[in-house]
Amino acid sequence: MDFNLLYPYPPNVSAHGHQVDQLNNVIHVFMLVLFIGWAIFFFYCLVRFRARTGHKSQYELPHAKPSKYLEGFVVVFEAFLLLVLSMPAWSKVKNDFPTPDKNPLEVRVIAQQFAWNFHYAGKDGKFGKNDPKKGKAAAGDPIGLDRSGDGADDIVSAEFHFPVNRPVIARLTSVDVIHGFHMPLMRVQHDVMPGMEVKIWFEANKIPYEDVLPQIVESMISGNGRADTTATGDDVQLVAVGSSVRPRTAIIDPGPNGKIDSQPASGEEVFDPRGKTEIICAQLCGNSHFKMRGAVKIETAEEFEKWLASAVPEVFEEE
Amino acid sequence: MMRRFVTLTGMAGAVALGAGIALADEGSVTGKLTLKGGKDAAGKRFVLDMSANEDCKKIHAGAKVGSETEIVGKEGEIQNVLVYVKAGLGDKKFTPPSEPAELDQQGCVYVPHVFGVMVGQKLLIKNTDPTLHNVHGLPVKNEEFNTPQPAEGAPIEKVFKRAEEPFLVKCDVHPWMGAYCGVFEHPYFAVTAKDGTFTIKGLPFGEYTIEAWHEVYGKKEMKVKVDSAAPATANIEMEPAKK
Repeated sequence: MDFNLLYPYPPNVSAHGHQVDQLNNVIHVFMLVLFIGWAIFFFYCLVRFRARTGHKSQYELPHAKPSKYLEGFVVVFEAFLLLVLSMPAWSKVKNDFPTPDKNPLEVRVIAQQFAWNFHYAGKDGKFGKNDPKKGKAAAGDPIGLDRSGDGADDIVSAEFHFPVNRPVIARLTSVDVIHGFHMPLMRVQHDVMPGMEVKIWFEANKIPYEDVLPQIVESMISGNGRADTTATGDDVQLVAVGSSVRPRTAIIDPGPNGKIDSQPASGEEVFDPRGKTEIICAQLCGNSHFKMRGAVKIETAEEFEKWLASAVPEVFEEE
Repeated sequence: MMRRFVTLTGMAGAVALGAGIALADEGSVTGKLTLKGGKDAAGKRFVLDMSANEDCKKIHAGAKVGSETEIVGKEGEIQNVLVYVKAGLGDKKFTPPSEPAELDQQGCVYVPHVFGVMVGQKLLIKNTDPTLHNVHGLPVKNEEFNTPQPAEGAPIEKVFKRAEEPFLVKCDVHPWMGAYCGVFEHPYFAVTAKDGTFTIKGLPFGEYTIEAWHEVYGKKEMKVKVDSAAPATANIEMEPAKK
């Protein structure tokens, strides 16, 4: 049954994600069955026991056998959901951490109001110590990393990079309030607590959208209800400049090179449905909680190593 | 005849007095801030990583923005040092100006990076950016404030009641943003320009201790004597941060 027609899940790019989706689907089906059953019974009662002449209200409870069986069935089914579906899946995710032979990548995720920081151990595989109170993002050091000793080759980034087909152990911690680490495409969500470091693990088995929407490329869409941009390069103008369109309508096609070359005018934006996998903060953490997004890049192993090697703060050259 | 004499004397006296007042009492201090060891002793400037925030990246459209914590020129001249009179003004009281000081947010960066206001002077915090900012001031002696400011939103007005050493004003939405604000009971403060120079004007004659404050290099004092119309010089050399 293709649930995506009724309930559009975001694409699943995670190895364990299908278990979460399956559980969700089973619960919804069960709820639907129960709902129809109870609805039929409800309408039956409304009709059967309606007020009419010759019938007095009965104030004693009936003791009918069928209801006990129904109750029993519900208990058994819920036990099944819990013990057969939920707990094994949850236990696998919570307790079965990948062993060293699987070469998991360990990353520390340090949440703050209102940004995500990612701390990689570098070539020596050891994390340096950090004191968030000494951290100063304006000075290029958002987590207060001690760059002597183990921390010398560590990488601190605002983007979460990890390779596909390799388990990732994320050590979550917060420097101020409770945040929520939620990656919808990875079917991962966990609270991030100050004063604690919580370990979770996950593995991506697809690079987002590669298998799901290979044909979709970028397009230029209108946000303000009017086509203001002129197509340049090999882009194709789909709507004449100046005409009114519904917002979010494509007005420029990327052409043969698959990329938008035109510069968006004010009110327009380049829309890439492949977009970005993101981290969304899932625990209300302050006045900018809604804006607390983290950029995620799931990439091939080579791209990941290349990024690690180059992820040092770029030196600013003055004119 | 007598009246004329009195008038003339009076006028002469007034002129003399006036000339005396114009000649007396006000000078200025000017100087240059340099870093011991020159530019090589300073930490490297790096490109601010705005990748976490699409709005900020869009505003700059690919242009690189440099960090502002240590801006040191080729000859070691330091920008963004707040220089102020620390002692020597006695018990004099000063009225704050009616024009407000301004702090703006442009391209997800605070402009200016370092500034001073007087006790009782209005500070107008503007948001010229087309994105949400959140102005979070962390003074010690004055009241802490934390106000969101929507895109191109209304300015926030702040008045500080107590003099205070420069404190951090940061943006909770954009961690790399930071500005420093010093609050003074007098108007004798200035921030060094790109060439490391500053000028504090209108100082009455006297002996003063001036102090230079930098967010990384700390503080350094110097005694200076203002005794003529020609500006007194105070060139200060600051020590680099300990590694």
